Amino acid sequence: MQEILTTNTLVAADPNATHLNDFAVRAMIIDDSRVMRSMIMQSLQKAELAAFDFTEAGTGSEALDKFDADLIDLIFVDWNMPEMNGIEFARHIRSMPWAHHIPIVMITSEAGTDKQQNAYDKARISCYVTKPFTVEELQDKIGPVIAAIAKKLRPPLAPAINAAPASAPPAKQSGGFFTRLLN
Amino acid sequence: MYHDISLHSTHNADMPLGESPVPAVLCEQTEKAVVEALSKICLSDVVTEETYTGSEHREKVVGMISFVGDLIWTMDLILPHDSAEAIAQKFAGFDIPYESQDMGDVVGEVVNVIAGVLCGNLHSVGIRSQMSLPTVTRGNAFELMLPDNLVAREFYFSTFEDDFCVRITSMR
Repeated sequence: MQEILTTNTLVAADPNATHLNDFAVRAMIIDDSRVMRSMIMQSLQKAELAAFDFTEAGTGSEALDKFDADLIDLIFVDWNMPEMNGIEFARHIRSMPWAHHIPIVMITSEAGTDKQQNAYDKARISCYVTKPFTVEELQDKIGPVIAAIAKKLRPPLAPAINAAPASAPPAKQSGGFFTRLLN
Repeated sequence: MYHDISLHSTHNADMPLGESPVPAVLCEQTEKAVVEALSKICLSDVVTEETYTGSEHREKVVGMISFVGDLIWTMDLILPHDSAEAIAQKFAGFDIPYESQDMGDVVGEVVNVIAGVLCGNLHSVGIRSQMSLPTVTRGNAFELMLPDNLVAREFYFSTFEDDFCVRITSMR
């Protein structure tokens, strides 16, 4: 218990924290465009929904190579990519019992309502964002996803934090919260 | 306003405007999608034009994408140097030099966004379509060499910085 308290920095830094910036979300950004990946990361930071720790991949297959369910809290994936497209990647993740709970946000230029429905039905994505997007659109659409991630973390930690000794070392912001939680 | 290809094309030059076999719905929806997508990217009005200075031998970057479905066609986004840099800056939020590798990346994304809007608009009028991955070419003095069974149309636009052109090529 002490280990959890001292290594989990996100809530321990402020037990009464309610703002989403109190969480560092480990996000994987998958897009074949390097510029697009930069844009998504910059926009997420501007949206101030949370602190982010990013992992990048240029294709679905590269993302699967880098993917570790214990180290990723949220996935942003493009639809149209070479080798493995975003739908195939999302279906792959959804087929993994140890990873199927991870929220997947599709960020794509496919603007049709039929495509959007297809992504929800076939790939069970959590959220659909159409390019080009604004920071405000990201806040509206990604905000609830981040809030759900935060909600999953907060309940089991809150009682433990209340019991923390006053002399507990100051929290240090690093790593992802699911790993620390599971530790 | 759209225009049959006249430069460097042996197949459309003599065809009167309005008699081109390029489906009218494709012309209308392409124009609409370009204005809709690029106005959002540039955060300023994109308007249709009668002429296009890029038809001169200026340096340009061309994003190309193909479509299949109820119709089969390709779309080229042709951006002269200044338009390319201006639109890339607006899209990415930071400067992207024309000569850089990232310029290809951005133009590919921009033509992808237009194509996505176009597919969505076509779906709303009952036409199914699916788009390919984009490819991008940079250079000048491109020559369009159409096979006999294809026809092309060009659409001219201007934005805050410069003008640009979109070309669609479809089956006769």
